Amino acid sequence: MPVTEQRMKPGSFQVALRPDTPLGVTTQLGVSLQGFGHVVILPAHFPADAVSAAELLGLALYTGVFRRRTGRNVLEGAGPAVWLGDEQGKGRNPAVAITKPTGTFVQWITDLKPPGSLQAGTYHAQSGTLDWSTVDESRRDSVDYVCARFGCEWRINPDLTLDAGTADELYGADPTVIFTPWWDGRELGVAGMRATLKPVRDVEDYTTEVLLRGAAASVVVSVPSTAFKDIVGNDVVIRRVVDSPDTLAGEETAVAQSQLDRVNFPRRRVTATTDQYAPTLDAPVGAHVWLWDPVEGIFDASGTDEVYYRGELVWPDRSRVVSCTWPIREGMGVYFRQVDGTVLDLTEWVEWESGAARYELDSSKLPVEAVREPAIRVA
Amino acid sequence: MSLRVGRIPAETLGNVERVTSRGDAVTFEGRVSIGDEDLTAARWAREQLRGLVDNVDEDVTRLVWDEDPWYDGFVHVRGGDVTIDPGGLKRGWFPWRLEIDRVPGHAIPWAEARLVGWKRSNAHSIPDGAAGSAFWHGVPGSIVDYGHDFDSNTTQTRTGETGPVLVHFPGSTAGDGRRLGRFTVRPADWYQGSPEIQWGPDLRAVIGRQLPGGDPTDGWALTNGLFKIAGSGTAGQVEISAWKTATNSWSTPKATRFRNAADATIDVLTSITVLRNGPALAAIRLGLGFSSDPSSSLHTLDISLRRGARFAECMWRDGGLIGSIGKVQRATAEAGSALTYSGADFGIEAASDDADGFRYVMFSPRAVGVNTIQGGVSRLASGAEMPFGIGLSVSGSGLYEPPAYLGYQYHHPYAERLVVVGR
Repeated sequence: MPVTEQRMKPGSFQVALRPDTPLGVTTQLGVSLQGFGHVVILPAHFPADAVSAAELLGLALYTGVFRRRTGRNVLEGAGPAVWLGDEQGKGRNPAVAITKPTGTFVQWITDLKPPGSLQAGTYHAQSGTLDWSTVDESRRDSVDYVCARFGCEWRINPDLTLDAGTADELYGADPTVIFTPWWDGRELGVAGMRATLKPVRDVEDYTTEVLLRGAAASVVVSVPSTAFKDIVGNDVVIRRVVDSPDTLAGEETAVAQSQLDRVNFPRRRVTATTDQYAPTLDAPVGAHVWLWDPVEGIFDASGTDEVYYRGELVWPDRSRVVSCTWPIREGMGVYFRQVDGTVLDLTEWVEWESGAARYELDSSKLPVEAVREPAIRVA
Repeated sequence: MSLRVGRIPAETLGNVERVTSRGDAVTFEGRVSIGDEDLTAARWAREQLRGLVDNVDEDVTRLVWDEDPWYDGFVHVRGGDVTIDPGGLKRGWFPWRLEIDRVPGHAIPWAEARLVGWKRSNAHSIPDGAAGSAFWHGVPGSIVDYGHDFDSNTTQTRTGETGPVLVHFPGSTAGDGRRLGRFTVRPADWYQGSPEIQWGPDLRAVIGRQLPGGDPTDGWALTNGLFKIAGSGTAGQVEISAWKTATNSWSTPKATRFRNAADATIDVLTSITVLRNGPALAAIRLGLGFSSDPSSSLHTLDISLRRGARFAECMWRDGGLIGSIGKVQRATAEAGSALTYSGADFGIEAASDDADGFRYVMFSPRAVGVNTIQGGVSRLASGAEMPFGIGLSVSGSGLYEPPAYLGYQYHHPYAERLVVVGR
């Protein structure tokens, strides 16, 4: 029943109301009338008449778009990214081509933001321009493409504003939270989040060659060498085919290389579970965070990130939050913002959840597992 | 009739009256016998037992029972408490209960020291592995065996109040990263050279991260048997002393004071918090301030001590971010000489041995000036924090003991996690 937030994806939510919720409440939540209304979750409860609808969004921990009701009491939907384009590519896709031979990053994002459903947030200017055109495609796919070309990302805030820029510009360059099993508490500049960390390393996406089929030509780029062997000792060859009709003539090799660079190493991720209340207040999806659990092999293998925390100098892994699934816990405020703008306070009727929040974290710098076996000798 | 579990001394728990086992789960029950009016023993037993339960710093600890040594080994403490009821004072005893799980390889498992560390960032151009063997970690001196994955390994035995400590120097000169030291130790020797947080008028061992209630000025100490840093009779100061093997006693304490850039002296101790409390490292946080200006009394001094260390690692911070830190000085003037690396001052040592044969040392990774008359270091550019080390060097007792070498060891810490594994 929890909320799942994903970086640059819609995610999902489910809010369950108690069985004794009056009909007078649930009849106001029909999909036929209130579909595409918004479920708004605050970290604390305020009486609905104490804040305006705009203030409510400004205080929100999460805003979701209501799309489905199961039974009388379960409200479901997705994050506000669906206003940019849903999971199936549907949305307010541009019916007229958006074309910019020398479009700057800000110009592209400005024109790709759908009118009405999202508000303009902060667009950080980037160097360079993009010669491109798009029509009928999901705006989310188009924003993804433009951001990738400029080395940027986007996010939609709970107040339904769209921000775009580099990850550092959106979330700050330095982590302010350290995930670790041993401590919690705050230091100057660093908040602790006690969490159980589990690293996951796999080669399921590992690729040694990318064949890119562009608009004008196809190219293949390969890794110079690989550490992986097949059963008879040959280097493994794993080719990935990428169809990219948007890639213009002359750009094929660069785009193919960027695709290869994403997958030419073992993937390393970490899952973290924490009991912390409303953990995304400290570590929102997309943010840079520290991870520290040397017993599980989670630390900074380069030794460059030195952090003082709770009586010890540590070298945590610098990571990013890919997604977070968190329970709707007692103490939060849950509201339904109806399509006419009125706010219905559901807090009293929510079936509260328990359990831990679960983070998915990207940790491409995690060290390899190998530790040499000690040669035991008598001291 | 003595049961020692974790750091709880044999006399605390008194008699064991019943032992029940189910597989590797064992329950001990007994009674704390006290005098007619003294609840202190029962309270300490309660606090220490509770501190062992699901302890994040000591997931596994030792258990030693003289009456039946077949129970000796390493255990996870699942539950424990002392019942303090009104009838206890009349009876003169309080019942206690301890629930443990024996870990795999219970009697004599391996202990793995998972070591991750690099040179501290410093303003003195101290390089990786300065002077050859700056990275280090300590293990009980009475270990049965020791294995490692270091490039090389030299050792030094240091002897303190709780027995010998074997300090290993991996000899890395190219950063370090992740290392592993694996050793076998008998349960009775598990805490040799371990840091211990002590609190209260009689300075008993604190177990876990919760301090018993009470006045923070009642008394505190952090000791590893070699080096001790403790509260002073003058609020806001700390006292350091070292173990004298010749006399089996502590050296005369030396008081240290803390001053801001305007030479106002910290003179208030408001709180003590336990940050870490494991066998390889223990750390506390003191809340400090100025009686003349309570509004700026947001200073903290973190003090960390490792097994085998001759110095404490400290972090002095101004929580108000006023940025006026700071000066660390001997409270009583004692002349010193600068410690330098490639011409840059990184600390100070006493100009000569004291009557006990020790020299005070202080060092910092920040750019510091040295006060050779009073004896102290100060940040050249005052800021909101000052990391520093403070210790006592043993005169003429080996390659790794001179003041400058202690400074190099301070600049090459390992973050150590002890894990008990089966063979």
